Amino acid sequence: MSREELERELERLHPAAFGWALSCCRGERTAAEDALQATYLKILDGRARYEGRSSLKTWVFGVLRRTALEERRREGGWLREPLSLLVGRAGHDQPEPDAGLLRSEESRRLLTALERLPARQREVLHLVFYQDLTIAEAAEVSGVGLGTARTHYARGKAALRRMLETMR
Amino acid sequence: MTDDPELERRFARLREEEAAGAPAFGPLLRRPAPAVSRSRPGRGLVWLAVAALLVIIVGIATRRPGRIPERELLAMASPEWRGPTDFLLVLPDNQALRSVPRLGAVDLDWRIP
Repeated sequence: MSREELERELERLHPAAFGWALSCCRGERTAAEDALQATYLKILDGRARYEGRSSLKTWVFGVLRRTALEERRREGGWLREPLSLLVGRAGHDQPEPDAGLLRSEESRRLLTALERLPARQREVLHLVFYQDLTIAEAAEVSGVGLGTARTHYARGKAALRRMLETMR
Repeated sequence: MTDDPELERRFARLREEEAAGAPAFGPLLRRPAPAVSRSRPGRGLVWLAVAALLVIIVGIATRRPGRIPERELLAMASPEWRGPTDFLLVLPDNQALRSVPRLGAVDLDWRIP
């Protein structure tokens, strides 16, 4: 695939990729944009090569997930949770308020509930429900086995339903 | 298609809202890559917090229990310990106070003027 073709495909996937970047970066818009840009550059520069073993979308999302994780570790994100517990961050389980986006009350509740799930469950649910991937594709993006992804999906869905019920 | 239409509907709504606020592809791709993180706590701040925490932990761990030397503490815990002002409590009849008198026993000493 030439660079121009790659760029066209990335532009086509861009709105979905932005949503995935937001999910990977816990709703932090600035971090999501940085991770997205870094991913695009990595792909277009050839540092990440698409070899056709999966769909382009699945592959791009996998690269984006790893890039967001690297950026988070580099910025000391691994310390953010324990530090925030120490200093008592208000609204600990709230995502960044709207991240400059117009969100309905229903979407804010959904994001709050998602934020309370373990990371793997949150990822699989986002990839299946938001991105319309199959569980097998979600497993590939998350780097887990199919059985594990199915477990995350079932447990995450049940927990999410319970939380949304209590939030009514 | 999933097995939960209600969650599908909620996620679809979230997807529409976020897609409407997505940055334009071209400008995002072509903007200068940030050299340092923006509006996020820097690595320096994180290490400062870790250093402060370590100082507090070391300070608590090496804190001296008090001003009383350990040998004094051990001495005070001993049943043989005598206070520095005990001599003031020695009275002529101390021995009588410490012993139980026997019936019929006579002590002539105190009757002799």
